Order: sequence, then C-alpha cells, then structure tokens
Amino acid sequence: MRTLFVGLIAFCLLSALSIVWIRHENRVLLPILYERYAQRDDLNIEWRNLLAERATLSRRAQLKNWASTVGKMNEPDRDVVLFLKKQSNDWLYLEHSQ
Amino acid sequence: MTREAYYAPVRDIIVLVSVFLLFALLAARAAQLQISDTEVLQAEGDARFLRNEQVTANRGIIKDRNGVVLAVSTPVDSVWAEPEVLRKRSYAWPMLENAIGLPRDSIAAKLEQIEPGREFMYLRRALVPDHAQQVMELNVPGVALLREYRRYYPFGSSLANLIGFTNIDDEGLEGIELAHNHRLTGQHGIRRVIKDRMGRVVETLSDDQRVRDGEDILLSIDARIQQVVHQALVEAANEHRATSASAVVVDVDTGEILAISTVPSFNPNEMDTRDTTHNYAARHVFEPGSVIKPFVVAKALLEGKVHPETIINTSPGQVVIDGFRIRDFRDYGELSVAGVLEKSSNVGAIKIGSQITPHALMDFYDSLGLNDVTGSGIVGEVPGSFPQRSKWRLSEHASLTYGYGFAVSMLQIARAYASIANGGKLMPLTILANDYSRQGALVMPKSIAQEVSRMLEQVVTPTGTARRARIPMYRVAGKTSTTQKLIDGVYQEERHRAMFAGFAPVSDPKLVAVVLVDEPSVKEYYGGLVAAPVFRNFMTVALRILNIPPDNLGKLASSRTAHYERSET
Repeated sequence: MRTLFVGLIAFCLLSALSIVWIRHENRVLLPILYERYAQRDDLNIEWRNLLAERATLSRRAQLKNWASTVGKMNEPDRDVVLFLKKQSNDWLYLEHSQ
Repeated sequence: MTREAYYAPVRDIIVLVSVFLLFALLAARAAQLQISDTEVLQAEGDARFLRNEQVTANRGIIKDRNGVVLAVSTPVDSVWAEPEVLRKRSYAWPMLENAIGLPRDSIAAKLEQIEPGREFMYLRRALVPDHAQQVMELNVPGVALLREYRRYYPFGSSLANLIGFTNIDDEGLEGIELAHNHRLTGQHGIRRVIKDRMGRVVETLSDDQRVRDGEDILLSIDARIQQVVHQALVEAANEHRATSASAVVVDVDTGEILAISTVPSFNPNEMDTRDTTHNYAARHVFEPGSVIKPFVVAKALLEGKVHPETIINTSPGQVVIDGFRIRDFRDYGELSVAGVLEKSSNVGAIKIGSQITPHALMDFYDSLGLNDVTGSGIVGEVPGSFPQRSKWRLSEHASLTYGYGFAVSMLQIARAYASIANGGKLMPLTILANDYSRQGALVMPKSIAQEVSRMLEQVVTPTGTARRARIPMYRVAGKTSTTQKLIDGVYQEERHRAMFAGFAPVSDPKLVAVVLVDEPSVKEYYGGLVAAPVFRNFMTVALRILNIPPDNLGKLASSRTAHYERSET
C-alpha cells in the first residue's frame, strides 16, 4: 500500500516534470520551425525570381542581340548550308543546297 | 502563573482559522477565475497574444509546352496597419511617409475614412520585399507586413492577349488567367498561434491543413514561335499602318495552338496599360472572302461535280447576279479548277459553287466546324455566324462561294485548313499541352484533301496570288484573301482585310497558320502583298525552330550530294 502510494506520487511528479520539459522543448523548437518556414519561403521566392529571370533572359530578341553582338554570330548564307539527311541507320546523306 | 497560562488556545485557534480562511478565500477566488470565469480572462489573454495568421498559397505558374515560364507570381509585401493603434501614434506618420511614400495627409485621411472597430487597413500594397523590410525596421507599433503575390509576365506584350492578367488580389481577370483561375488559385490557410511580446511565435494552436498551392498550367504555346510571330506582326502593322494584325499557328496533326497573337497589344506588367479588347484571332468573326474557296472546290470534288481537269470559263471576268456585279481582278478566260484558286477568280468560284446546293454547302461548312467554337478553351471565343435561310436567293448562294455573307474566326479557318493539310481530319483545337481527350472527325477523304492541297500549292508559285508566301527550301500551300469591310451595312472601298491561310511543308504538313492584317494602307492592301509575307517571315523561322526537314531542296541540291560513313564511336 505504502509503495503504491510512493509510486503514484513519483509518477505524478514525473509526469508533471515531463510536461514542463516538453513545453520547454516546444518553445525552443518552435522558433526553429518558424525559421525554417521563413527559409523555405525565401528559397521559394528566390526560385520564382530565378524562373522569371531565366524566362526574361531567354527572350528571343535578347538572345538574337547577344548572338550578333557578343557572340558575333550571323545566319549563314544559303549557299554554304549543308543538309544532312538520314538515309538509313548506317548512312548519312549529305546535300548541298545552292 | 506559568508562561503557559498566558497562552489561550482559543486565540491560537482563531488566528489559525482566520489564516486558513484567508487562504481558502484566495484559493476559492483563484478557482473561480480559473474554472468558472475563464472566458473573460481567456479573451483578455488571447487579445494580447493569440493571432490568426494567414498562410498564403502560391498561385500556379503558367508555362509553355517546353516548360518556359509565361506567368509567375513573385512575392511582394503589403504594408498594413491596425487603425486604432496607428491613430494614437501620429508621431510615426512622417516616418511612414518617407518609408512608403504615402503623404501624412493621406494617412490621416485613410484613418478618417476607416470605420471604428476595423482592425485592418492597407497602407501600401505590393512592395518589393527588401523595401518592405525597411518599413518594418522603423518599428512603428500597429504596422505589419502581409505576404502577397504579384504576377510577372516575362514575355510582356507578345502573349498578353492570350494569357490575360490578374488583379491586385492575384485573381484572374482575363485570358488564361481567368479561364483557368480555379486551377491556378491555391487555397489559403489560417494558422492560430500565440505570440510573445516580441512577436515571436511561442505556440501553434491549430494549423489549417487545407492550405495548398495552385496548380501549374502547361499551354500548347511554343514561346519561341510566339515571339517570332509577334515580331512579324509588329513589323507588318507598322509597315502597312494597319489598325491591327493577328496570326495563329496550329499544329496540323494535333490541333494544338502553337502561337496566337494580335497587335496592338499591351504590357501586362503595367496595370495602367492593360486592355482587354484585342484577341482578334479568337474573339472576332469576319467575312472570310477567298480563303473559303478551297472548301467550295473540295465539296465540288466530293460530289463529283468537277474534276481536277475541268475547265471553267471565267470570261468576261464578271457576272451580274440579282443586280449585284461580282468582278475578278481581270478577265482570266479559261481556267482549270486549280487555276480558279491560283488566280482567286470569283467568277470561277461562283460557277463551281453553283453546281452545289446552298444547303449542301452550308452542311459542309458546318462539318468543317465553321459554325462552332473550335474547342480551344480561349476565353471569349466566338462561333461563326451564318444566315439561316429556307430559300436562298441566287446572290446569297453565290456569296457563300466567295466568302461573303457569313462570318468566321481565324481559329476556325486555321482548323479547317489543318483538315486539308492532315488528310481530311478535323481536329478540335486546344490551348493546353497534353490535352489528349480530343477526337478528330473525318470531313473529307484523304484523296480529296490531297488534291486540294496540291491545288493550294499552285497558289504559292511565282504565278499565283500568294507568291510572296514562298519559303526557301520548303513547299508551301495556301490561299490569300482580300475583303472589303462591311461597316454600317456598306462595303467600304478603302477599308480592307488582307488575309493569308496556309500550311507547310506540303509533302508532310506540320504547321498551319492564318494571318490577318486589318485595314492596311490604301496603297497596298491585297492579301498576297500584305499578309503572305508575314506568313513567310514567321514560318521560315518556325520551321527551323521545330527542326522540320526541308522538302524542297531543288534539283541542284541532289546533283551535289556526297555519301558519308558515320564514324563509329
């Protein structure tokens, strides 16, 4: 009877302390969770901005401009274009258009 | 007397009891507050520390068929305030004035307008996050940020007419944004949290599980082709001083719309310039004119009324029906059926069409989907408009054959031309990628489609009306049209629509396109001069972009060939 009583008291104390401990843990971890949320949001923002940026940079006018100025590329004349024609799996057929 | 005599046990007991009673009173009061009067206190506590936070869902991204982003919501921060709190702190107004550019008078005015008891008012919406952070660093009580989203359209005006735009609350107002708003819109959630004095979350009471981001939408559009088409239209509209120019490019086999554009357009990234009126390709119907003639020929071939070799005498280059005089450009004399298309002879078309009853012709137009919407799923798409007659006058019958007296849209023309190009199968159009639920219907036998296709190729030869639609190294088929605009019941001598509809490459058609230039300058207004070059300009690039092999390398090419053995690697 006496051991049961002591046991119950101990259990009661233990459970009370664990509540305190868990609530403490909760308070410690929650800011970390919200920091992670914020981090996720920030990364999401960055990703979306990068998507938009990529699309903007890949606009045709932009690329064309880059190709002709920085890349010094221009469209080849028709008489120097070679066409490679797939004749069978083993052979390529080369055609020259003039 | 002993010391003990001074102690009266009664006094001990009185003290003990009264101390006990006092404690009991405290305990009872505590119990009362904790147990029976909890609501009042809970409300007080909640008001101080409990907050409902909105968890904002992201609006879906609109992408093209290759995953290129066409519309994306980027986060912005809106500055809001608790009116009651801010009202008491007029010292902070000048600081806010500097930070968010809102004059202190208008802060006062806003506070004045807000009804008492409201806990929320916007101060400034849609600030760049960095800028908004500066506002927060002022630490003005009662002022906070709300995460919101602003739509960004990387391709600006070239896709504006199709995609539309959203309002400041990120809800679709026009175009795809409106049509698929329910899919793009996410579900916001509410999170109940307890915050400490510093605004940090210390406990989450409930987390709304319904929060989910909006779906992404994949369009059938190819952004590369779209830009080329748009650029060609801008150039054409400038060159011919046209009121507008539109084009649509459709995949012949699948009915997927690869590009659809109208100029003038607007920049969807600037709210002030937004405009909803122009999506000519889907929203306007007009008299198609000569582009309808290939279908008259197809029907005549189908019924066996003419053969490809039949000779039609178009002399003297004009006919009078019911008092209306219908002219050709000049007297072409005797023409083959293909020649009628090549020269776009109205007289020839009438003679071919007169052998088919108007009802049969109408039924054929119906089967080509000219009376329906195309199923494209574009907001505001209109069906064709045909007259309802039980008895047709001769002039009405005739006008059906050269494309007057009824109205169709560019999308419908593109769809009907695709059926010629792909061997007689009419596919419903779509603006969505991976839309496989659509079923095509056979509207003419393959042999007829190929015959008409062969005739249309003749139109795009050096002697045809559409010679300017020729594309180096590719075989092109198509038909021009030049119509007078009907305004207030009168056909205008000086206001035209120049149009071209065609497809390439003829040996295995992949792309069909329709170009319309509205009211080009008076000097040059023929479809063959105005619209056909636009077709050539964008098709040349589009065919290359899609890696479609040339089918017209010419004789010289085959004489200079070489064989290469593929090196094994």
